[in-house]
Amino acid sequence: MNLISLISSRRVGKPPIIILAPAIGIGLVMLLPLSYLIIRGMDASETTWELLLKPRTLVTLGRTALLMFTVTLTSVLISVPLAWLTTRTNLPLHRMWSVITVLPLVIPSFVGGYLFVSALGPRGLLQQALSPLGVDRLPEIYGLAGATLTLSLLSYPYVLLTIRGAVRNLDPALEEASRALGYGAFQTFVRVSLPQLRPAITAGSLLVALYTLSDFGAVSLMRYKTFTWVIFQQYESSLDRSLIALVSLMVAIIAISTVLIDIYTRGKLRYHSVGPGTARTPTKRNLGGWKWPALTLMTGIAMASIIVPASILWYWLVRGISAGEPLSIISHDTWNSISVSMLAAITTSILSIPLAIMIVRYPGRLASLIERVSYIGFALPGIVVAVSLVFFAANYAQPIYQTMWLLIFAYVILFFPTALGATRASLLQISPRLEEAARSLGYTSLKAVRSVTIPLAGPGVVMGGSIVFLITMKELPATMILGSLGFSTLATSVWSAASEAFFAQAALPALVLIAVSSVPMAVLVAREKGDFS
Amino acid sequence: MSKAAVKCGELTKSYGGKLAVDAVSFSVLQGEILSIVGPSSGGKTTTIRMLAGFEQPDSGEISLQDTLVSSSSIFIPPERRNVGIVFQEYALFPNKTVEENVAFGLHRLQRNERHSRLSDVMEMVQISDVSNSYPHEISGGQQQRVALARSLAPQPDVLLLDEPFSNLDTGLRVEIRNEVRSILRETKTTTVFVTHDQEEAMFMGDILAVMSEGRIEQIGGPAELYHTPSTRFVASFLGNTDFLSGIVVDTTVRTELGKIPAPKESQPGPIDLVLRPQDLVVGEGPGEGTVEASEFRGPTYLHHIRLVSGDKVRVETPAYLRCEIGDKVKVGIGPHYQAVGFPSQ
Repeated sequence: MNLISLISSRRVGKPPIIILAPAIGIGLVMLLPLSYLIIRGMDASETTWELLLKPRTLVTLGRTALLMFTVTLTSVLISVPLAWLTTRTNLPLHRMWSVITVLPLVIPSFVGGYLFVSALGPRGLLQQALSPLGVDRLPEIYGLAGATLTLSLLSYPYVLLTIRGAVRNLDPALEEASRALGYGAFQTFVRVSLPQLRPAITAGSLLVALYTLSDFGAVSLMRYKTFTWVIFQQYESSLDRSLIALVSLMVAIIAISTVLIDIYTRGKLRYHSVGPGTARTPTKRNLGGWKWPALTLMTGIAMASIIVPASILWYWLVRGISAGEPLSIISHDTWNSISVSMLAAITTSILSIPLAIMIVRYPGRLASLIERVSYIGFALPGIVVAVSLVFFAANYAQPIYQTMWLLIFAYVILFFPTALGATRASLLQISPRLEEAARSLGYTSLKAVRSVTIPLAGPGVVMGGSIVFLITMKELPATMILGSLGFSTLATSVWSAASEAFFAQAALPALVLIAVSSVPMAVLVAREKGDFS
Repeated sequence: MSKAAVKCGELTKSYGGKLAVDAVSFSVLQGEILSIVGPSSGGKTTTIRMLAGFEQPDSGEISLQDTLVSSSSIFIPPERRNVGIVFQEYALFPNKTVEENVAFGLHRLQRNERHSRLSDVMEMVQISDVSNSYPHEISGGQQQRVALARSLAPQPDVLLLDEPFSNLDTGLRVEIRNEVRSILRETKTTTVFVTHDQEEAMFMGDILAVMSEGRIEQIGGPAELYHTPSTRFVASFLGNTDFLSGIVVDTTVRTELGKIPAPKESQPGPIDLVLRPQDLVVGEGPGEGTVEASEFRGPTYLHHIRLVSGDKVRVETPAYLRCEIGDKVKVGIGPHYQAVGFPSQ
């Protein structure tokens, strides 16, 4: 076979090497943390296994699973009515409510935990306010109740956003058909609308369950000892790395099985409406006398999840400033936070492009395999990835061990799926006919991608990048484990102050952290509103 | 003398074991318009996508302007074929203005050359007044013009049109296709035009190819195909065709609508004659039938008539000739009918 025929025998349907090689590379990188944990875990001695298989581990497992359940359930119970009220009824000020209800996303869990502990703790602000009435101790907030409260109030927007997206895509004709067939409004909601929202509720629940599993800050401050807390304690104190690897593997297994359960339950059913006919904008229901209870519910959620935490933060801030907390450290931390988050966002977005192109333009077994593998990053808690990378780098990647690059590497693994989702979605909007038009006008396939596809996909890719920026800013455990000695960010500063109960000292970095992550959040909210029109 | 601008030999392409295009051969002369018509998923679009270079044939050859662009050992990518294409959905770049869209393929020209070519093309297709608008700000008809201008701007050797009018309203469609045809004539652009609309295909094409299940059933002048279809499929696809059974005896055909001269070279025995609604008359003639339906079409009626034998025919009459459903009417074959038929199966 001569060279000409070798070149020309390439099928139009196969991805060029410039796409294929980085896509496969990403797939291998995503496999790294899990495979290295398995390798380390296999080193475990018999005593290590004995330590692992103690009843204590089982208790931790039970606690973790219980918390995942309570937080997910609470989030769903909050989200369903909120989603319905803000999209399908004439709730007064519904625009304002739609923004307020997603705001908790900017509050990192360790900030939320710190605010609730400092206010509702046995000798917290509430107790101090009530002490003139003779209350000198409040009931314990620590434990399951406090962790559930904090995590639910901070993570319910994940469910809310997915449900809201689905509510908008509901074909109102289905509900009208149900009404015309003699079902009442409530019956129609239960029998027609709710089943159609099930995939969205499941998808949102998955996000919340994984958020809970991977949370370290809130559970530690609430002194509810789940796996992430155990791993961190062992990492700080124990020298038995294979034990840490085994515990991390257990967490990884829980995470991956949660995702698999979700895929399995979602895979079988079809919910989209069958047949032609485009969906109209649904009519909004008149709440009538239900307006007041609805407003009370909205206000209650807004108070608990945003207004009260913000006020507590404000209180500590004022106290901190009047006590003369130094401001200089903040600018240093802020710079560190912004620069690593920026780097993570840019790297992750750029890396997501080749794989996204492969999934969208050259679909096939290989593309979907790499896509699935890349979702490992989404499932694994930050602390698990961090622990694995520390062990790996200490042995095989000394040059980046204890540098910022190892940290960026961890962020890429953790947040790659987020960027990939956004990039893929924006590529899906672009008809392949556009690239073909460019090629028929004399552009090579790479030039066509550069001059047509990338400018069109750009905004979506930047969107994905800003989400990565937001979640990197809020990331705590991986930053603590992988940051070099003396490297501090806003997140680690809040944590070190709050975990020592220096609440006033934690206030300023927490506020700056929230303020900076609100910028991409504002873009997201504006975008969501844009979809609505 | 004109030479072949497009030449395909035995083009074959299958997807997952299913033949999409099956040994298709044709050639288009310089400046000619070829219409390819057929039912959907008959392989038309795959054929022109292979001409453009978006799909690689499994076997067969393509030459454009006497240059081999696709064969078992050669595959020239689309950007080096100098082929223009207008897609069904136009594929205008949404982030570029009309002018930027049209100028997109002129990147190899000098600055002033580019400018004059751009304004020439924009004027020719009459979109100069929307040059600064974005595609979503202009009407469907204008979008279609922009797509045409963009593909014509680099003066392609061959222009490919993939169902370009199917997204337009009926009235606009007729207007635009008239315009497109005269522009293509004026610029002497060699064109391959794909449609599922037989009337549009006959109107646009100098030559017409009827395609079904990946094969070309017949290729030739539109009138030739209409009047002397070589297969049953072509006969029934072009025009509202009905088949009337008869028997060839010597040089005549006996039918229930009377005796007429037999088609040339027809074998004695049973035959199915190809009849269009315009070939028949109502109110006179030897045949008889019952009106089952009457479609009012403005200037004409299309009557559906069940003949005594049970065969069904459609007859077009002037609109003053009204029939009620259930009426018994006389039916005959018009004086200008040239018999065409196929041996009965």
